Amino acid sequence: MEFRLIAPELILAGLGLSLVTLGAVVKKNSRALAVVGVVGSLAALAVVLANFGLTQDLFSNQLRHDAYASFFKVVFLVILILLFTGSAQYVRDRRMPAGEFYALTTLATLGGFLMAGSLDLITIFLGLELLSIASYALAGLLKGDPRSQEASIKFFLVGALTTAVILFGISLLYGLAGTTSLTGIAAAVAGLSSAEFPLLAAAGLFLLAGLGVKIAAVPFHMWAPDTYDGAPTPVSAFLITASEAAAFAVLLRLFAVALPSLAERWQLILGLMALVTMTYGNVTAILQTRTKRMLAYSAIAQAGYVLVGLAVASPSGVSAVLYYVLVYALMTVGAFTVVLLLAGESLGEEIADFNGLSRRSPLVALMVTILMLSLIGIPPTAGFFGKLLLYRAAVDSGMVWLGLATVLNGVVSVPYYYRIVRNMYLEQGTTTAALTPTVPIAIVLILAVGGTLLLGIVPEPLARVVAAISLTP
Amino acid sequence: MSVALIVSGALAIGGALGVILARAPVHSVIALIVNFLGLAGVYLSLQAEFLAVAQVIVYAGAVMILFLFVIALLTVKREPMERLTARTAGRLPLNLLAAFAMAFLVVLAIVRSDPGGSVAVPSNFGTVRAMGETLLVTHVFPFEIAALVLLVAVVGVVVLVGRRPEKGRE
Repeated sequence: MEFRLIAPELILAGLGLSLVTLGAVVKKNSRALAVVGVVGSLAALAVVLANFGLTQDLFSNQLRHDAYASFFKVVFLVILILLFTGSAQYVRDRRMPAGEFYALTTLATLGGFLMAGSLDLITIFLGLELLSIASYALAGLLKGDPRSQEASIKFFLVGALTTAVILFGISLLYGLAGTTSLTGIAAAVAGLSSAEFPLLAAAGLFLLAGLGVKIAAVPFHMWAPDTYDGAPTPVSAFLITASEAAAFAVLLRLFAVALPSLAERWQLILGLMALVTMTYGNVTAILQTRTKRMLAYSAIAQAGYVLVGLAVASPSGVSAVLYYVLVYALMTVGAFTVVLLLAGESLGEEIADFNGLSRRSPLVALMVTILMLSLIGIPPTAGFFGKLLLYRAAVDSGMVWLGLATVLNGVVSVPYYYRIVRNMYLEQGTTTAALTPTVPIAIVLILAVGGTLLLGIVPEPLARVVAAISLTP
Repeated sequence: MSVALIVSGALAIGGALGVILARAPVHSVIALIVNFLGLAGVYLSLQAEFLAVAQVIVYAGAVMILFLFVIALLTVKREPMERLTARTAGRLPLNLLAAFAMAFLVVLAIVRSDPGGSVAVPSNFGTVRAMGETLLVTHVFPFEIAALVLLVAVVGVVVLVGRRPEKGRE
């Protein structure tokens, strides 16, 4: 076994441990911790990119290093680096325990790594728990804020129940197949008689429900708005992007590698779930007046779009999911960074806080406009191309209704995204003082918005990369 | 199916029912001990000695003591737990439907599955040696990850519950 293949995991583990220790020593200087975090994550990113094309099974086939896992790792690290860069001021202003914040986020990302790279139910479960337990604590890091405490408690209680549900599904699957290895399960399931299909269906349902909670798909979304709204802003961004992406990575791998027969039979179930999720998220988002709550419901809707790629159960669906997950991470981190920027002036909690932003900083207003256009899915942004891939995947596999639903939902989502743009350009704000982002926040915004535009204008290179990634070697 | 399996299975289910039906937390904990002992019996009747012993020592022993301490510390006055009937009442039909659907699937699966399809148990199954080899050789990677999970849990608890000088230090 080559150690360079798990070097990114080792770097993240080491980074997490040193951040805990450093946090106890360097109490005042949260910026130094952020720098350590960014440098460490950049090192991990470099190794992941260097290993991108290699495929190998590690640790008695419990981990698989392949392009699929590597792509998700790149997404996680991009999110981590952008969040670490943009959140230093917020962490200081809100007196968050800095060492713990950076360390737990790093270790949660390591959990995501394991989820994306696992070929075994045990490692999947441990990765999921690593990510989840760190997230429960992260959501409650604003110790003086009751809403942050509520976010943490709700997330924890729902999460504990989810763990039980997932474990029950895993135990049923283990009972059926006699192994926890995904490839072993695939072989065992192929030889099952029809008499045992109900048990397989029950196992699949439990796993789908458990992971459905993690991606906040309807009807498992109850915890999401409160948690995403109440958690510290960088944590909300992390949960919506990295945590959901990790759950999608597991769902795709599970259904494509271990349960392909179930994936084909369940196209309708997954398709309906996608339809309900996106519609519910979009319609409810229109009614919100708080920025993060609106973004939370928007996250539910976006999870619905990604579910389309899962429902079609085809290689083009997998590629579309990969493309959309990266693009969505960029858009969301960008949008939350704007909230972070406004939070520096105790603004940004309400959508009305965006009023008159174009006169305070035309450039920031333009960037927000690009992000919102991308979230709606209007060309020439990356969000458009991502949705196009999902639409094409749905139509190609004969689920035209699902493709149409995706397009229609894009239309439904226009009012609430557009409202932010309208507020910035047409409404009068309470202040007209110029808004100047700090250098780190400016860097994050430029990277996120630049990436969103670049992937929209020249989508082919990334589209080629994701088209070449397949789950079944 | 041996008598021991049926008896300990019934004990486990009875204990589990006791946990969710009891109104005083202490009664729930005691019912949980019954449940754990029942489970240990199930493991024993399935010839998994190590699991049975671990179940008794770790869960019925250590974990339950912790539970009792928590309850002793939190509920000095013996107040029955609040009932959240008002909030969940509207969702009861849907919840029941989902629960019955899952139960139906599982029961259907048990009824239809082939009882003769059992596999011979390897001679060293459930022994300490086999357990150690599985834990520290085959599954050494998940074992190490479990250590990280525990670390994260500890850090999380300390940061959420621990007191730190937040104000008046500037």
